[in-house]
Amino acid sequence: MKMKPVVVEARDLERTYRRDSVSVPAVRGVSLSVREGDYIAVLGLSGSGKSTLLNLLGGIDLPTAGSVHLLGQDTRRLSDRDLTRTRLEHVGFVFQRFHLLPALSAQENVELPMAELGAGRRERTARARELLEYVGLAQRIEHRPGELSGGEMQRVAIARALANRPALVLADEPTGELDVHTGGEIAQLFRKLNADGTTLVVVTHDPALAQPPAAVWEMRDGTIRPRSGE
Amino acid sequence: MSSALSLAWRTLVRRPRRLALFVAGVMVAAATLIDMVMLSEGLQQSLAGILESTGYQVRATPRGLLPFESASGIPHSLALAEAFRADPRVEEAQPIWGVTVYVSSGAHAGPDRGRPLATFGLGVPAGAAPILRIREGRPAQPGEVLLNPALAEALEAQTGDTIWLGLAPDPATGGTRRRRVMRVVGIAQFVFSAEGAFNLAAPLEDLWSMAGASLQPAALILVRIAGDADAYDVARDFRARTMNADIYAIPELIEAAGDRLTYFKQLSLVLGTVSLAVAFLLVATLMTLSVNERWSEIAALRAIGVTRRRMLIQVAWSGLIIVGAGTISGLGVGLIVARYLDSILTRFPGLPLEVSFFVLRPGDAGLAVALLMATGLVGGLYPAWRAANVNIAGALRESI
Repeated sequence: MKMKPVVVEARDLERTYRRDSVSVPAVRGVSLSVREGDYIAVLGLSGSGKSTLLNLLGGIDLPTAGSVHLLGQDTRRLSDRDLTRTRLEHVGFVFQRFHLLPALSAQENVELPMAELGAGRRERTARARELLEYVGLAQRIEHRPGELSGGEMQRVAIARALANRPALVLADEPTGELDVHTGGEIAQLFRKLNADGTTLVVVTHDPALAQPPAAVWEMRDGTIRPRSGE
Repeated sequence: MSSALSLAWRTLVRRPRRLALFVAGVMVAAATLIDMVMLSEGLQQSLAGILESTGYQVRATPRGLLPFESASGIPHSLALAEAFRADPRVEEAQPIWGVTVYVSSGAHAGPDRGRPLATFGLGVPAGAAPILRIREGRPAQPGEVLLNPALAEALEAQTGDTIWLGLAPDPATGGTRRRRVMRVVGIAQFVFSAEGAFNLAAPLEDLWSMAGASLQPAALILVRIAGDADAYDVARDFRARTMNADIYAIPELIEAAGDRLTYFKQLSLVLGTVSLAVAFLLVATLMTLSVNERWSEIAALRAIGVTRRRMLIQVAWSGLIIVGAGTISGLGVGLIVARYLDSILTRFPGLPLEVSFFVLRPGDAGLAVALLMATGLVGGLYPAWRAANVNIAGALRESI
């Protein structure tokens, strides 16, 4: 069977922070390939380096050593401007705390990355409405984040992540702020996303997000390995 | 929808009360700056306006004296004015004199009853009105007078009435000595008149005759330059050949007034600078607060692909919006405050009615607005730079 193309690849990845002149390794020697259509769930305890790995894969942080090739481009070799453009065009982010703009409606939040990319108003509106419908929020498009529940805000954030038809969606604890029931719904939405062809990397504590078809990896002390049986 | 300006505006109005307070702060600073700009050259500009409005470019006054400071004046003023007129560069030369006279009217008290009003009588060439603004009627001919509005009201006199003019009150009769009957031919405002002062204008010969001023004195002689002759040159030439008068071009007088009013400029500069500093601190503070509050939101925006430049512009717009709103409202408040302060300052005794301490020139207003907008931009620059250079991963980590 023909292998699907690699979306992002980490090789011997290292990320060390300096705190009070002490070096703290957050990611150590991680190598990982994410191919088109993959759904990878990274599990691990707090402080294990999951979020740092996600930031490195998405190009919002740069490795101390090793490399990340995002759509074939070494993130360390890209200027900030090019890296920003790459994230805008090819990567969708879903954050634990949603990070929607409170001043904008759900639809405007979803339109934001498209506007940044230069899409026309009509195109943006149509796409935003389509995405909000896809995540089950067709009736809430004019509502602002303050008028939405946590689950609804996360759905808006997911729609925003999908706005520019990214090659990769990275989600950092997307159910971390939600109750079990709502978290389950979001986990189901992620499975639907993947079934519809979205490449996903999710870092989480939530077992619901690590259900099949997710390939589960575990992080411990900055290192990563496939969960037994995977 | 989400242009940087729109986003900046919608972000600011999320905290309407705080925004209102900061805009009010900038408004006060802007009003102060506008007032200081108006004050810095207002009096000089106002005096210049009065002097230039007479339409004369050169002025002769008694040596060492200001106009109307003494009744003695420049002697033989008709001859001197004639000599000035003989210069081909001169179009007109008008001697003007001033003396205190006492006036009564039939309506007021009767010719020899009641208390005559002490009035500053202005002697002008018959049929001319060089430093008068005639509101009704015409210039006075021999035997005629123009009254200023305050005097006309006090005398209950109007055009066509007869008044009694005397040089000094006569305690014996309750009337005036050397009195003469004059007919009111109009109402006119003396351009250098103080508020509430009584003035009248009569032909020079009538006042000279009544006062027994045989030397035909003048408190000033106004000279109108013909064509494009240079007022400085004319004044210099006249100065060189006239011994008993100080002769200056009007622009020279305006410059001299400006030199004497330097302290207004210094005061304005200091207070104007303070108001700009306050505006800067307000904008910098609000922008820093706003950026700090939005720190993780800004990081998320950068993460999803919003460029540094766009973040910088958005925060800079926020500063400009605050300063813009504060400046627009500050302009209005500044004008109201200036009018109020002007009404207090111009009550100072002896100041011409038309003088103003606060004068708004379009260029100055533009300068004040530009300075404030630049201040807003600079005030928002550091917070904007911080926002643009947020450590995305660090800020997102701190937000959890």
